Amino acid sequence: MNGVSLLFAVLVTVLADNLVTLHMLGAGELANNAPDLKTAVATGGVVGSCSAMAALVLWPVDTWLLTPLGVGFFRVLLCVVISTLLTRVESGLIRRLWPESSGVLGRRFIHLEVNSAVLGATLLAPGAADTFAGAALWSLSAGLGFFLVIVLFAGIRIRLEFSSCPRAFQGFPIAMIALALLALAFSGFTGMFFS
Amino acid sequence: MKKGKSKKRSGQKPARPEGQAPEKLASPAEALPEEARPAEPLPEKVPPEKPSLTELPPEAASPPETSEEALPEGASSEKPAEQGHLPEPSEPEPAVQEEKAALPPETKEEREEGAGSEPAGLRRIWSEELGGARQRAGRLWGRVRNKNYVRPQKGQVRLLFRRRFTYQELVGVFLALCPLVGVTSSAADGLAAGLLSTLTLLGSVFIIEIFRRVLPDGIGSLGHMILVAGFTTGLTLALRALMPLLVEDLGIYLSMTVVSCLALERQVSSSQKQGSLFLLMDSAITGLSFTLILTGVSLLREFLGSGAVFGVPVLGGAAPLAIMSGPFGGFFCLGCVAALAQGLQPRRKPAAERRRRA
Repeated sequence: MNGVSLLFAVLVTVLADNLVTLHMLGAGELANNAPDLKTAVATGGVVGSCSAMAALVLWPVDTWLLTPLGVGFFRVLLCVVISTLLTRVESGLIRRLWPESSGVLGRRFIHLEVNSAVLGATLLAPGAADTFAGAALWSLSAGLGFFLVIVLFAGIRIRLEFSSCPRAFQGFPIAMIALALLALAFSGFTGMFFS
Repeated sequence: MKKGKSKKRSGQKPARPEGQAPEKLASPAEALPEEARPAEPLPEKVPPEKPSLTELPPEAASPPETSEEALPEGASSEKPAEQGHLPEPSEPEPAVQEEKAALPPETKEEREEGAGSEPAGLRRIWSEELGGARQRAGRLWGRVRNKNYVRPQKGQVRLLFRRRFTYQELVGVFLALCPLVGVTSSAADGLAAGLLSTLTLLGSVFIIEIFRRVLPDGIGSLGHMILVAGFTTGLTLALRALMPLLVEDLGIYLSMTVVSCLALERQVSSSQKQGSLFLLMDSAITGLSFTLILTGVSLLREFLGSGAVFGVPVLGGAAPLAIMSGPFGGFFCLGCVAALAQGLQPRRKPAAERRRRA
């Protein structure tokens, strides 16, 4: 696999096989986030890196331990534990290294501990690739895809803050409709493939 | 014989758990009416200074159903000396009666002899052992039991119901619903996912409430997550055995009920202060609203996307909107249902006007 095909593989996962716009996971984190670019970058960084790392950790466990032993039903339990521990480790690191980012996220770390994007990435990774390298690439791209979408969506929400919309649509409903339009835009990338 | 028994009982007192009610403890054989005593006559060869209960384990000697919380701690062991002068214990509890009837009159050696030969002795020993186990379980339950049972009042429940169906509260439910948008392409799947989430929520809240006293100050978020994930795993296994097609349909979204359930738990956690029953009721109401909304979104999406309601085609020859079957449709229908909920919410009058009216 040369550099170009590697780049294509990443692009396909980020744009076409996106966690949010195709698998519909992580929408809650997007809608619950403050309409602020700094918070979006911090949240996207935490969730994206956690989903990548969790998938990296779980793939070997799932492929070499759970499946041969026939105890695949423990996958969810393991995913929850791994994602929670990783988020905690990461929050500790962020608090130590970048205290200002920790202030931006505040108590949101608790909500990020188990979120659908991380759980989805860890559950989808074993099916996405047959090799560890492939799974690693897919999970890193999935984290990157989530980061891209949350940053784009933060930009949309900032615009929505200053626009007037009907009373019934203010807040959560208009955020969901904006996300629907973003998903529609991303669906234009469907059909991209690499060999 | 009676004296000897009562003395021995008072001697065994310190072995009992703290805080047991002496009035209830003082209900040995002399407190029993004649007809409640053991059916077999006591063997005469047992000397009065060697009463039968000397060799019994302490658990078998004390009554099983006495409440530990009935008396303050450190209820002294001097009282049982006056057992004979206690106001007559009118009706001993049935459990105590049973145990009294089960107490064997012989010493240990005799019991061991009799156990091999006659089935009645064996029965007595069995009942004695069972009585001990029952009492140990009772004590454990007394330690574990949650005392936070406060019966909610009628008006309170109605208010809770109304509050949970306001838009401000439903926003939390909508956010909890986000991980399950993927299952809304079919109304049946949406209904199933909603019911499963509600069941998981109720089960996890119930388990946590039962063991709240023995668990350390809140089992922590990790404990909650593991409990909910374990519950979901169990449900998945049960569903795989009972409804394999449903598990196939839901796919990875079945695991997403963990995330939804944790979000709903955060939503209802404020009710914990008002008692366990209230919390359970709140969980049920929140789960109901969650299921209703998820089913509503699924119905709308299925109708628009495939022209069917619960799998039954209703559009006739008209072509459905295929775009609604994709991710766009899921987010769009969720947004529309949320807008409907917000639109139906009665508008609050401005504060100034409210003050003027008052």
